[in-house]
Amino acid sequence: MKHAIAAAALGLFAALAALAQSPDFARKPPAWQVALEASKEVAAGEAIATKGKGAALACAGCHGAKGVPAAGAPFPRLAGLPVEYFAKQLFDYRDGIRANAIMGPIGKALADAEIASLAWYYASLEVSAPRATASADQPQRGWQLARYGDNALALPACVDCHGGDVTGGGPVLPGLAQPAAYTAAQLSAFRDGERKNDGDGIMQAIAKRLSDADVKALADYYAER
Amino acid sequence: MSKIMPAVDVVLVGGGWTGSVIGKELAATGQRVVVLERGQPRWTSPDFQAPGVRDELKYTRRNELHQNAATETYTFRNRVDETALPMRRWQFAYPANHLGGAGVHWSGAYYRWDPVEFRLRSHYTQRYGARIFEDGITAQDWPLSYDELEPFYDRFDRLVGASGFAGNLKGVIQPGGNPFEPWRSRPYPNPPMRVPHAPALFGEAAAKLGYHPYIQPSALSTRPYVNSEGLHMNECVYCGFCSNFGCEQFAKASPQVCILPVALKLPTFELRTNAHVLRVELDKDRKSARGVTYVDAAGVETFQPAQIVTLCAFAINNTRLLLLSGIGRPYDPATGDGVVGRNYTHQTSSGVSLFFDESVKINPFMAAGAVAVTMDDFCSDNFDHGPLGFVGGGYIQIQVVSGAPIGNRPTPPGTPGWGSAWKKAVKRYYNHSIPITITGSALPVRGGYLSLDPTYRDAWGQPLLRITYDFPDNDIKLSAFLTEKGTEIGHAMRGVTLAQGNPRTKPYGATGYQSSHINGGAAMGSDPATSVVNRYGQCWDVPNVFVTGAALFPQNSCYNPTGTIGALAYWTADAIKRDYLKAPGKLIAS
Repeated sequence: MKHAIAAAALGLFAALAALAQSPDFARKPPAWQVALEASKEVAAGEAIATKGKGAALACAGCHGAKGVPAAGAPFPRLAGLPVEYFAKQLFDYRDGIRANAIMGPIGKALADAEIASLAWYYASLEVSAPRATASADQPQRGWQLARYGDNALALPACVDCHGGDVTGGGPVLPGLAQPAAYTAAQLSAFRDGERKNDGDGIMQAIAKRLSDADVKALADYYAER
Repeated sequence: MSKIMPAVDVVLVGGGWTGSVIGKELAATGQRVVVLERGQPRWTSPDFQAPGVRDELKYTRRNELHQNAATETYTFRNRVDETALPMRRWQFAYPANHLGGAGVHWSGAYYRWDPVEFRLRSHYTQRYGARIFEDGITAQDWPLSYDELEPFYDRFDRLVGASGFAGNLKGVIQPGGNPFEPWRSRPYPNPPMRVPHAPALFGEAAAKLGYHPYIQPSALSTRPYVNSEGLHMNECVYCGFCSNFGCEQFAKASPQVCILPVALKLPTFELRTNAHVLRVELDKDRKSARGVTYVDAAGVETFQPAQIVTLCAFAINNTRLLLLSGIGRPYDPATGDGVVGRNYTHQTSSGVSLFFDESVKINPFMAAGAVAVTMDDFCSDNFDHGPLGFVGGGYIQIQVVSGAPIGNRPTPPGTPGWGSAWKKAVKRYYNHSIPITITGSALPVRGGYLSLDPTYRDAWGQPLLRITYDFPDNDIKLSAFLTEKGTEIGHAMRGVTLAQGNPRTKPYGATGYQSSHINGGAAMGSDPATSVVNRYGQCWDVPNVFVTGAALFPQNSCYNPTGTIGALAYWTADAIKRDYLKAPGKLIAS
């Protein structure tokens, strides 16, 4: 018996020796994070945002003079977005990870440092206080999903991760106060697999469990924030 | 005179993992099932949603999801010649309460036990000789093997959405995994967790010293997952509110997330909350149970008749129910006779406090209950115990569980406990300190046992459970050995300015947290003289009563219990369906 155990032990040790390389646990920072650390030129960002640069149109054209689009426009608010989220999205547009006919070419026209500068510029912009919501016509379903989620659908509240409606919940977790058309388009894109730049698919899985009515309820709710 | 409910086929005491698994399995075969949960119903939404759930004061300090020590607690003493006193607040462990039980407030650390754990006595005796066990150690073999349990581990893996990287697939060691892992028939359903900075530094140092670090398996889903019951789990977001909290994300496996929504849709399954079970009622001959008596939400004493009673309460609370119901012979430490209450164990945990220079940022709030880089080089019998003279082992790891502001106040030894010097040290070290965690096995001793307290009673007038226990020398030696190894790794880590090992010392106490893994009292075995239940959890003396959970462990391994508890729940449910229902009232042949 002892021999059998010794043989088994030897076998194990041989197997262990074969595994010479041990896993490297250290996290490698993504390119957008490196760029953000390297370049923090707010003024350069402002210049690109207002005047454009080569094939990159001026951001202000669609996204508004101070990063807040005109009422009713389908373009997202950029003012006050976390630098990390902003930079990651432009890198993703550039690399084709987030597909968009307008933003793809714009991303491709920008260098790492220029994206970083834009991120720092838009993060520096003041965002006006959230609009007061009219409680009488508060969209009930949107409020429920945003604040409490839905137990039967295994949906956590949006605010668990995305935090404050304007300020957001963390570096890559933007506040969700956005025009209704933009929110609805993004949720639909996550749901239909057209937008996939959400890591392991956390938003795709959530969006797949939202009905059309839920998407509209959330879009309306966040348009009022 | 009790109120009497309509009879059912099966009553299960407790709405945690085992009650939910066995209840659902039996209800699905058409058995009429009632689960009695003493606590309140709590669901991920709305009860565990942010910001309300991220309340350290409420959940951790004031024990929101733990047993209410004001109405029911344990008494404790080290030796039989002492008088036990009640624990007024939880410090040594966190017994669970409310729907989902410990399966809600757990951390999600998810292990299979080493095959050696199931034949502990015979394995060590064969390899090292019987004298490796010190006098008075009552460790014994399980009545089943790892190989028998493997399909049930596999099944529970897919219920909880286990994450990890297989180290041993059907006996073939897999590069990148834990080479000491017991064989598994299939890979984990989900990939391993992401690694925070401190565990990465630990892994680097451990590998440099020749050890085999790997990412701890967890029951926190690491990607969107649809489990074996068709229920959705979301991806863990590392919010740092796992241990003692309900998970806001539907990411940490719990009965609520993983099984109850399906069970509750079965017409044969009923869940009754706020139902506090007092005892199992027996026939006159005391060889058969008639059902259970409980106090309902309105305070009415109620009798629930049933053909099968399954005890699914928190760990050692099952042992208390056996004692309160007069099932099985209570253990007598003076003679060594009797079995109920025998083989109580906890876990031999210790730590190494690490303090870093200010260039190393730990970010302890970027955390999850089970996110760790760990190593099994000193677990079970993965190393030579011959020259060491003790039995058992432990895992060594860095896990980043929580940066919660009340509990996480690391200061170096010698720092005053209050005042400006303390404040300065807290500020300096909050983001530059983390412990190495060491979790060791625990051996049962002849004088360590559970019994009914002769003095103190609970809010329902029933005797409290009394714990009598002190560490065997074996476990103190084990802790000294493991803590020294952990300290060496700490010294080898980049940026460490101080590594202070804190091995476990005698006496065992009620005031220092060790783990929530308190076990035993209803040991599973093949001999009625040394066990309370057979290999299927069936009481030797009352065959229509089944016991589940950590009360069954004859001794504790170094690993976290939930994986094994879940596998055993499926194992018992299978035996009831396959064998017991064909010959009700009879002991299942082994």
